[in-house]
Amino acid sequence: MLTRQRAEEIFEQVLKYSTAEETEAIISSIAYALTRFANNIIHQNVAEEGGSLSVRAVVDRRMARASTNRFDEAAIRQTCEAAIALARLQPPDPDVLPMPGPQTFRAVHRFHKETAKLTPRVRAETARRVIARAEKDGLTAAGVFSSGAFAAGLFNSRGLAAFHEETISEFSVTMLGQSSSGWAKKTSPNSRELDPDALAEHAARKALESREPREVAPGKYTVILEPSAVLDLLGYLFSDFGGLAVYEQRSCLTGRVGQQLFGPNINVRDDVYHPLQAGAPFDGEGMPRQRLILVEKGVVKRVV
Amino acid sequence: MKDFAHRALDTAQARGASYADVRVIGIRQRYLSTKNGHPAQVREAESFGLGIRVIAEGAWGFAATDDLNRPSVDRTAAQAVAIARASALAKKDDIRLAPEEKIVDRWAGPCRIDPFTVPVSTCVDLLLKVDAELRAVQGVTLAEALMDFRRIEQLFVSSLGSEIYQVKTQTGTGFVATSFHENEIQRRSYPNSFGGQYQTKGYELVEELDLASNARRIAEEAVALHRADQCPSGVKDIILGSAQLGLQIHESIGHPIELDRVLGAEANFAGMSFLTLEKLGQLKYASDIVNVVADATPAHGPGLGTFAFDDEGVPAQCTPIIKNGLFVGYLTSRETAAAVGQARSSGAMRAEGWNRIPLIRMTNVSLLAGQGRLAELIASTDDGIYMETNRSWSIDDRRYNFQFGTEIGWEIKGGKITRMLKNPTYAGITTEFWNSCDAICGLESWVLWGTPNCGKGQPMQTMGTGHGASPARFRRVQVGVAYSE
Repeated sequence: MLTRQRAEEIFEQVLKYSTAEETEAIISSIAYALTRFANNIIHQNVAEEGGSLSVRAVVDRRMARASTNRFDEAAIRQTCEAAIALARLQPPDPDVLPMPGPQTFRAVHRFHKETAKLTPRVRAETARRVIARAEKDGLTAAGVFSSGAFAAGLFNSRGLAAFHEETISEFSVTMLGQSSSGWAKKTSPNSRELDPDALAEHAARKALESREPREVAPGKYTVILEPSAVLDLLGYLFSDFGGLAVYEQRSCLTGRVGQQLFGPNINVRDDVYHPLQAGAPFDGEGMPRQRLILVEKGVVKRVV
Repeated sequence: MKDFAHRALDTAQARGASYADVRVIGIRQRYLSTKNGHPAQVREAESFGLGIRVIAEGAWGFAATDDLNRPSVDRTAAQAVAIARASALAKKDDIRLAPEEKIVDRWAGPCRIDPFTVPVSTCVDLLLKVDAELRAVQGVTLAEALMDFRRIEQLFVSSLGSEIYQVKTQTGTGFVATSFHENEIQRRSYPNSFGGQYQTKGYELVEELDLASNARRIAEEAVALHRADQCPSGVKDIILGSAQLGLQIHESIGHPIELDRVLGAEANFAGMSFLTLEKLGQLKYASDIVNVVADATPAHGPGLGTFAFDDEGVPAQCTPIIKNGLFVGYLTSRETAAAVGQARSSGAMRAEGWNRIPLIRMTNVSLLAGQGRLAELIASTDDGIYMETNRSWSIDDRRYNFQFGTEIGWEIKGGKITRMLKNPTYAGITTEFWNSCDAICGLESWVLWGTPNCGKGQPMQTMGTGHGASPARFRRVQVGVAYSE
């Protein structure tokens, strides 16, 4: 797994080979595994490890990016040269802003050693228990149990240096009956918080309680949606909250920021620091992420 | 490539794998895009790595690494075997693979002009020329154009003794004119939406598509859509343009015929299929004039689903899917072929890259051409709507109920195009829809479209698929559903 020290060493090499006016490098690595089951057996079981170096070069307001997944000196040199060569080949863009300088980041602790070390056997035994729960009620289970870790550093020639490491885990399960199904899922940087058995029980209960559903005529009904279903609806709007989308007039929020577009009981917040959240405290340019109120009492307050 | 591949194979077998295959892959990509007069994304990427798939104790394991040295390759092969042994804790029967022969071969896909030798400045200049044409039309608020080039080199080796080297070059290009006016967003794309047209060929695709000559027309249509009438609601005859029909095929034929989906392998993610096994050879999927194949062979054309061998080392094949309206074939793998009584895989196993396992994926799932021209088809339609270029899609997780929206439509009355229509949508049930097909245009208007980013699997992977289609007519289809009162 990439360490901050190793990421800094790689960036030193990038600076050695980059002749651009400004240079930014995103250096990352991942080690990830996923155990997948369906029809009450484990049918796919995978693991991967890999790294990435992405160099952004700016030469006279001309910008380009080149990436590789090799960290040897020759690859670093070639990647820098490719980014600079690409940048030089295009017309200048007056909208290119200078890269930010050093920033201060709020600490988030999202790396859990036990999650990083989760083994195929532990995932398989969990799958076996969940399958047993399905079979107890004549259901068929399908799902995944995944775990891993990633690390990412973002550095630039103006002195910005950011590094974040995090573990990831997910358990999701679909319980299928003859005429019904139930689904449940949880993700967390800490695999101890997943509780796959409880998720399996929840999914099984939904499948059992919704057996032999009746058809209802199309029409307007009052419905209660589970949190994941709410996210499915709201999630389609997230890209429209992007400032660039609004600026380019391809967002449904174009000309509507400040308006009451939702009910007064609707509040939406972008908060990477929420205890249930995951992710780095900096964005893709190395700027510190902030808590943002996007919708307050139904009024669209801002975009990101 | 070869040394690492064979070393991984040897290590896996020494550790107890009864079967193993290895893919060592190098991918190079160049992506260029412009937006409103400026370069937007200009990037190059390369990725090299090795993935090994094994059967040990009767179950699957897979591991991948981009750290290509002997200790790492050994470790990765051993990891794959350990994962397989863990899988065996929750198996019912040992995996059995349909037999295959050892193959030693090489193949290179078509590429007349290597896109990586075309100067970047030439590409960006063309994109900016298209951009200028688009923004010359008043009312266009966003002009976007792109080119996307990939070269994929793959070495496949297996414990059968196979050793197959394949090289593919893929090119994608297109542009979009977006117009925002009074809270309404309209857009028109050329030659197709969501990235444009993609094929397994070189820069010659860009030349063939003549982007700049089509830009003004497309931009004018984007703006004109604001003034167009809303597509009416009701039951209508519709004619789908070739590109929209390509996506219709993808969603309502290509996906449900993936046998792993039918058997439940994707139940937790991509969904299942209404095409349960007893329907094979029995279900009247479409009208008598509809014939669909899944054809990966180079003879079918330079589609995104064209190759010589799949990612299990099985030769590319042409598999009949719908014959004179009858459902006759699935996409299968070595593991699933027996489930439908086949002695051999149909060669449809494909992986996104070195770090993903192969899954059953579409190859080139195409509607065979019929007869006649689009103009004749329109002239023979008394009351209908011609719809072009996909804008949105929605289909249930068994691929049975669907709703699609297109960018533009034209009303047909008495065999003539009358008014332009905006926000056209149509909905249907897959088998009812395909059984309502009563005319398919001929080869002259048949295009092998590319869908570059079909998603499936956990972890997710994307895949390019090809879909050949000519415009076709469907009778009595529910239209205008999304905007009805």
